[in-house]
Parts: sequence; structure tokens; C-alpha cells
Amino acid sequence: MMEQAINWLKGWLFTTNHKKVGILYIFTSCYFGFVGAVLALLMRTQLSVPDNNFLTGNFYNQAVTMHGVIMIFWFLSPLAIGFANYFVPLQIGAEDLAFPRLNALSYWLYLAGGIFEIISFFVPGGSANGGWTTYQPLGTSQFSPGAGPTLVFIGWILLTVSVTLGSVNFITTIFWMRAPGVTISRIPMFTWFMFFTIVAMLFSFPALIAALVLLVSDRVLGTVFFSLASIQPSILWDNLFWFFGHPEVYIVLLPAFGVIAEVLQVFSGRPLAAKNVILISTAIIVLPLSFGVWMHHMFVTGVPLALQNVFSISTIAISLPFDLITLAFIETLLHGNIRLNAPMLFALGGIVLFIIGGITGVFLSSPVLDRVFRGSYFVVGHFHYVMVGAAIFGLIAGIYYWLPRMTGRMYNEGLAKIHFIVSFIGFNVLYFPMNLLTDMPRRIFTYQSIGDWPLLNGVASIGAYIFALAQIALAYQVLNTWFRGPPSPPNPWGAATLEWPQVQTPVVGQEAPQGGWIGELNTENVGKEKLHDNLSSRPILLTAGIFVALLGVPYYSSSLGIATILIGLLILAYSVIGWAMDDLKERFVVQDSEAGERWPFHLVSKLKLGMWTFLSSEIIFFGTFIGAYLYIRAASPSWIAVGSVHSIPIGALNTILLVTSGLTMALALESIREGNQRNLLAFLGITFLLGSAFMGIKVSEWADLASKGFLISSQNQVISIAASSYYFLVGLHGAHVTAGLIVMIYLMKKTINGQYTKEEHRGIENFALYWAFVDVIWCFLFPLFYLM
Amino acid sequence: MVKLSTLYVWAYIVAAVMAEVYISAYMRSSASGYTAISLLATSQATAVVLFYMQLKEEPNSIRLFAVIALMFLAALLAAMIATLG
Amino acid sequence: MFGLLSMVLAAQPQTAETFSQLFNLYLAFGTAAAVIVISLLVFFVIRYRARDGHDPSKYPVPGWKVALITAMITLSVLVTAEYQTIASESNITIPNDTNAIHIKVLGFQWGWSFTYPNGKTTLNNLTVPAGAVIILNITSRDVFHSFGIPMLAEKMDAIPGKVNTMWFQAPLQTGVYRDAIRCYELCGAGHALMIANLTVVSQQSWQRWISS
Repeated sequence: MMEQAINWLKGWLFTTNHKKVGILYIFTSCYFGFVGAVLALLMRTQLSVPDNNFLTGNFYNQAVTMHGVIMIFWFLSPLAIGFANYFVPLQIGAEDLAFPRLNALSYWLYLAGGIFEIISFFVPGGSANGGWTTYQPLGTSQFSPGAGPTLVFIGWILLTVSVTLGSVNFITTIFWMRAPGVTISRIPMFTWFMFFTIVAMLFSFPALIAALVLLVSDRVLGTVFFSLASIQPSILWDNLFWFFGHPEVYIVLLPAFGVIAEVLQVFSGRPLAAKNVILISTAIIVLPLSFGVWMHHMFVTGVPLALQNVFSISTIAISLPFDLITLAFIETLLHGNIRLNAPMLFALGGIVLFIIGGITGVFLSSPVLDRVFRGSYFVVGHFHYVMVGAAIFGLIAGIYYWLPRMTGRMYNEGLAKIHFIVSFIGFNVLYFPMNLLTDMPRRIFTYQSIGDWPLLNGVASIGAYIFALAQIALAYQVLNTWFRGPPSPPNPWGAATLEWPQVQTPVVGQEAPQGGWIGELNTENVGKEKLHDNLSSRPILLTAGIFVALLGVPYYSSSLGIATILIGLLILAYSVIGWAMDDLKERFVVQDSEAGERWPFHLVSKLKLGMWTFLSSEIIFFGTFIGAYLYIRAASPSWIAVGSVHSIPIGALNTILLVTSGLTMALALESIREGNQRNLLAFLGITFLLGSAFMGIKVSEWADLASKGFLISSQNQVISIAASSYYFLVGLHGAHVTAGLIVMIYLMKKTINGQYTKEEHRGIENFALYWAFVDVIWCFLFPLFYLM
Repeated sequence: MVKLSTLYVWAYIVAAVMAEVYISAYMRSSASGYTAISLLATSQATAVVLFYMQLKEEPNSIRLFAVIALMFLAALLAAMIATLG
Repeated sequence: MFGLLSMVLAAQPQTAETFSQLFNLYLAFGTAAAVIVISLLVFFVIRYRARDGHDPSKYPVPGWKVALITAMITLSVLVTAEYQTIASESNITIPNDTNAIHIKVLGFQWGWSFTYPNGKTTLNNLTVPAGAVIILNITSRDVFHSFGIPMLAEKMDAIPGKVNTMWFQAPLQTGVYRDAIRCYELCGAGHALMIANLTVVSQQSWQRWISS
């Protein structure tokens, strides 16, 4: 009995199975959704009548901030990622995700970040209170002192790291793990829309990580990126944040579109209308353009008029593909045999609400109209129609649609219909009044009784209670179905996509591909099935190490804080070494199937595809920092003279050392390609020595600079910001070099073991990519800091 | 056999570092000097990416990743500097 | 919105007038689009409810043609809207008016201070002569604020280290417009209380007031 319980627990904590990780994601995200909803209800209660003092201004600001942060980052996206974990591999016939342990690590990092968000409420001074957008300098320690905000930002960084790892994993999975027969044109719509989502995540989250790392550096290390008014840090933050923030809107929305596209086909009995128009316009208009509209959030920050017009036009242009998608969705219903089951109701409701939210969005593309709407409740109404209306309704459709697949049981249709009707009414009572509150500022904790504000706010608050009450029905449904629901037929909706057992002739869509895995799907008794157990304790342990270490960071000036950091680092080191040993001893092996649809990456190995995906996000990550530095140089009234602080000869020498290590690493790779293990070891050794010399010189340079008074804490503003940027960027690069040196020890050990051969040397190949990338960054950092 | 191009690339990058130092010494703080240094740095980075990261030999689909990332980055940098007016 | 409608009825200063016209255009387009598209959806759901003997698979799958037509219609609406926006940009372009009155605005946690051309300073009250063209130079002492006068359809961020300009035409009707000015960016615990009055006086009283 006891043993059984332990095994059960192990089965969840150490799991790397995509379905179990998916279920963990879904339940965890719903928990955070609950927390976010409670915060929202607190706010709506405070605003239900004028001059209310239910909440203080300070706590209201914490609630408004964390409601946004938690709902967007810990509820909406992770719920979609949970579905993606469970269903993307099934839909494309893959056994699991491309990197199962990395997937588990993504989940645990997400949870760890979430725990930081929760505990931030309970430290003295409370949580972050600058809004989810945290316009600087409000988030710096001068205006938001205390450990709470620091913990929020650190947890947020963990989440962004988790998302980046997940993006690499999903892109590799979708392109490299498809079963024979699942060609590009047969990829189901949910997988497609998850793919678009993941691509947007891959390229936008690095900018957010960069912005948050700069902010945490300000709060913890005392750099001055966001506190020195003379370099206009507010605009720097706005750019970095919204460069991420606008694609984020589509990141939240597109998974729901994927669900809606599946549900519409199944419940109308018609194939998706204009499917290729939807896919192509999303791929070539929505995705690229989502990175080119962010400045419509900055129309009143005083950016030049020409720039406002460019971004106004790009914003209006991005509404066009969404118009096409919406109309194609509606056209799908034409000549159909529409069954109004709960998934269909929520999908249709989501489309209706998206139409309203989309149209109010067009208003916000106009710089002239923005002079009234910016920062008002009109904006709040608009994005809730999109993020709650379209996204949450779409995802709830997904819950009802896939619940029979995940549990093998059927939910109660009558209750689900009531749930929809009450939700739909409650939603509109809650959010429609906000469209009318065009003059009421967002995020104010109280207001006087003027005009129609008391009426509209009162109505909205009533709507909030109705909407929230309706969700109790959802929670009851899920739990009740899971434990007590009547058995469901294996494919209750007659869906044609491959996550459902294809017992009968598919109703719509593509024919089922060839291959044995369909049989595997058929025999599966979902919910009770024995999940194949590839357990690994490393992901959770590694996360625990990171969690403990970061928990100490806000308190690093006390000995208790230092001790916490050290304990965390020990756990981290233990699990990293353990992970490496697993690989050395081949204890955790993922067997890739020989055949599969891999176009257009059929010539690339799985690991290399993952590595290049990761590197492309690193381009944005480092590029954002370099961009921030260029911005600071352009905004700063003056700068330190070339050659006056940094020694050019030493910098040049160090550059040559690093470049030479790039050469020896390339030679190491060439050696093993010819099967020469001895030369591989020799060149790895030389690379290691050159890299170490580079770091040694770096450290001595820093010691020298510090002794000369080139310090972040300098009273001279120019020196302070110059030192901030130098130590931060060069230090970040140094951290990458150091990480590379550590990995090299592992590579040398594996080389000595003779585990790299002419045929199998992917580890060396990928490390060579990483090491060269570190070189590339330095090619820019050297001239930027030493010569310009 | 060591590929000669690997060595040539190294020699070019080292020469470019020397050239950058030379330019910064003799054309200090001039716009043309900065442009020349930026171009040299970009050429070094390109050489590393093409030869040491072997992007030259990869299929186009892999190159697309880097190209997309650079495109987005270029948009961010250009607009960010433009906001300063 | 009720506030906006009442603005349309009364005689309005120029900035508010331009805004109302543009807003009404967007509202008309938006309402029409929403009504048409949502009605279509509801109609389809009713018309094609599941029924016996109907085989949905015998109809062809719609391709790109309808999409192209709808794209053209939408595009023309969007282009019209965008064109009108650009035509209304006098609202966000500082006018070249030698009679304009320049006033400095400083946002701080939590309030607004106004400095007039002769150095006179007021707190949380902006006094202007009726109908005059006012140009504001807006900045912040501490954090990011946003200075907005919704009744005049104007707003501009108050950003530390940066001076932004904004203009408006003062209301034609004299009197004290209570709480007409608010902060529109979260700026700390007192964000909700960062309110100022707009006082409009006649030209003569303004001269007296400013030199007192």
C-alpha cells in the first residue's frame, strides 16, 4: 500500500510522459486561473460602488498587477501548452515530445516560477504593484522596494525560460517526429495553431527575458538601466516589453483558434472552409506582422508622427487576416449538420466575442482615437473580449471536447449547456460596460460618483460574480467526469484527427495515415492505461536547485540569503552532474523511430534542429541586450572616451584568444568527423585552455577596472551607466563562456570514454555550434565596448 | 585532413580584429570609422556562422531560423532607435 | 460613451470635434461589421442545425474565392478608416500658432503642477482662457504618468527625462471642469487620486489671474 503510494507519487513527480506532463500543466494552470479570478473578484468588489474602501490603493495595485501576470503567463498559455503536450504528439502520431526530460523541466520551471508569484504576496511589503506592464521606473527598487517584486520578476524569468525550452521542444517535435503519412498537408489544425503560437513564443519571449533580466539586475546588482532618467529608460522598457507583448496577444489567442477550428469541423460535419487561406495568412501575415505592430501601445509616449503612422497602418493590416479567419470559420458552417454540443457552443461563443474584441481593437490602431482610449477601460474591455472571450471560451471548448479522450468518461451535457449560457451572459454583463467607460482610467482603485461610472461599474461587478459562479460548474464537471462520469465511447464525436481512435470511417478531413501506431491508439483504454514509464528525477531536482538558489537572491546581503543560494547551487550541481551521468551511462535513452515525415528538415538531425531553434531565440536574446546598449548610447548625452577606461591591447589580445578557441573547436569537430578520437581530445583540451585564459584575463581586467573606480555605484552618471552596461553584457557573455567550459569537461570525459565516434558525435557538433555562437557575440561586444 | 578554409577563416578574423584596432586608433570617434568597424564586426560574425557553425552546408530550412530571428531583431533595433526621434 | 455622445451635442472645441467625427465613423463601420457577421453566424447555426437525411459531405468545400471577396470589402473599409485617421492628425500635431499659450506640466507622485509662461505655478488646477490654443510641455519628476483630458480628446505620457508636447483648444464655455484631468498610467498607490481641475475663464479674467 505504502509502496504503491510512493510509486504513484514518483509516477507524477518524475514523469517525462507527455500526457502526464500535459495533465500536470492543465491542473496547475487551472489552479493559477483560480488565483487570478479571486484577485479579479477582489478588484470588482472594490469597484462595485464609488468611494469604496474594501481594498487599499496599495493592495489593489498588487491585485491588478498579479491578476494580469498570473492570468496571462500562468493560466492562459500554460493551459494551451497542457493541451499541446497531450494532443500534439497524438495528432501527429509521435510517441512523445522530441526531448521528454526537457519537457518535464519546462513544467517544473513553470511551477517554480508560479510559486514565486504566490509567495511574493506574503513577504513584507507585498507583491509587485506596477501593473503587468510595469512601466519603468516604477518597477525599480526606488519606487517598488522590497523582496516581493524581485521574487515576482525572478519567477517571471523562470517562466520565460520554461517557455523558451518548450518552444524548442515543440518545434522539433512537430517538424521531426511526425509518423509516416502525416505529411505537412495532413497536420491537424490544433497542431498548426500550436505551431504558430510556439514560433511567436520562440522569437518574442527572449526580448521579455532580456528586459526582465535587466530589471532584476537593477534591483539586485544595482545597475542603473531603468533608474537613470537621462537615458529615457521608460521608452527603452516600453519597446522591449511591447516587442514581446504584442506577439503575446497572438500567443494567447492562436491555441484557442486551433481548438475552435477542430471543433467547428467535427460538430458541423464540414471540412474547414478556405483552410489554406487560413494557414497561409497566419503564417505569412499574422506571424511576421505581429512583431511589427508593438508601437501602437506607445502612440502617446511622444514617438515621431511618421513612426506612429507606420505602426497604425501595420496594425490595421494585421486585422485583415483575422477577418479572413473569422469568416472562414463561419463559412465552415455552411451546408453543415450542426450539433450544438458544449464544445461547439463555446467555440461559437468564442467567435462572437472575438468579433467584438477584434473590432474594438481596430479603434486602438488609430493614433487619434488612442488619445482618448489609451489607459482607459475601453482598452480593458477590448483585450478581455479577446483574451477571455476568444481565448478562454476557445480553451473551455477544448476542455469539453477532449475530456472524454483524457478520462474515457462523458461529461453532463445539460449542465455544460447551462454553464455556457450563464458564462456567455455573465461575460457580456461584465465586459461590455467597460467598452463604454472610455474616460475612466484603468487600474484606479477608487472613483467618485460622477456621471455613469457608478452604474457601469456596478453592472460590470454583477457580471463578474455571474461569470465566476458559472465557472464553478466547470470545475464540478471536470472533477465529476474524471471520477464518476459514465463511460464514453472511444470516439464520441466522430472526429477524424488522430488523437481519437479511428474505429469508423473518418467523417471529415484526411484519410488516416499508414503505420502501426493507429493500432496502439485503438487498444488504449484511456485514463486507466499504463503510461510507459520513462521516469527521471533530474528535471524536478534541477528545478528545486534553481528555485532554492533564486529564493535567496533578494536576501543576498544577509548570511541566511547566501546560505540559501549556496544550498540551491549544490542541489543544482548535483542534479546537473546526475543528468550528465545519465547520458554518459546511457540510463535515459529516447529511441527515435527510423522513419517519419520530416520535411523540410529531413536532412537535419533532431538534436541539431533543436539546437538551431534554440540559437535563433538566442539571437533575439543577445540582440536585445546589444540593442538596449545601442539605445542607451544613442540616448545618453555623453559617454566615456574610447581608450580611456578599457585597455584596447588587452581587449584585442583576449579577442584573438577567443577566436582561436573557435578555430580549435572547429578543428575538434573536423577530427571526430574523420573518427580521430585522439585529436578530438587534444583540440578540446586546447579549446578549454584558451577559453579559461579568456575568462582569466576578463576577471583580472574587471579587478583592475574596479580598483580604478569604474563602478556601477559611481556618483558620475556617465560612468555609472557605462559600467552598468559593460559589466552586465560582458558578464553575461562571460557566464556563457563559463557554462561552455563546464560542458567541455563533460565532453572531454565522454571523449576519454571513447563514446564519440565517426558516426555518432552529435554532442560535439552541437557544442561546436554553441561555442561558435559565443564567439559571434564577442565579435560585436569587443568593438562596441573597446573601440566605439 | 584539416580543411584549409577553417584556417583561412581564422586568419581573416584575426586580421579583422587588427584592422578594427587600427581604424579606432586613426579614425577615432568618426562616423566613417564606426561604420567601418561595424562592417568588419559583421563580416567576422558572418564568417564564424558560415564556416565554424557550418551554416554554409546546412539546408535552407535551417538557415531560415537565423534569417527570421535577424529580421525581427532588425525591426526591433531600427524602431527602438527611431523612437528617440 | 454617454460622455462622448453629450460632447457631440454641445458646441465643442476643435480637438474634441475632430475626435467625435472620427470616432463616429469607426463606430458606424464597427457596428455594421459586427452586426452583419454575427447575424450571419447565428443564421447559419439556425439554418444548418443537425437534421435527418442531410449529407453535408456532398457539397464542395469553399476555397479562397469568398475569402478574397471578404478581404476586398474589409480592406476598403480599413483603408477608409485609416485615411480618415491620417486626415484627422491635426489633433496630434502641434499647431504653428504664435498666439498659443505654452504651459509646462510636471507629473509627480501624486499630482500635477502647472507652470505658466510668466513663471506662475499652480497645483492640480489648470487655468486657461476660453477658446485659446494651449500647448503643454509635459514631463515627470519620478515615474511614468499619463496626462489626459478625455473631454478634449487629448492625452500625452509624462515620462521622466523626456519632454512631450500636446495641444488642445480650450473649451468655449467658461467655468470649472471638475476632475477633467486624470492620470492614465498606473503610477503607484495614489494613481486614482492624481486628478486635476480644468478652469476655463474669459480672456480678460485670465490676464488678471495670471498677473496676480
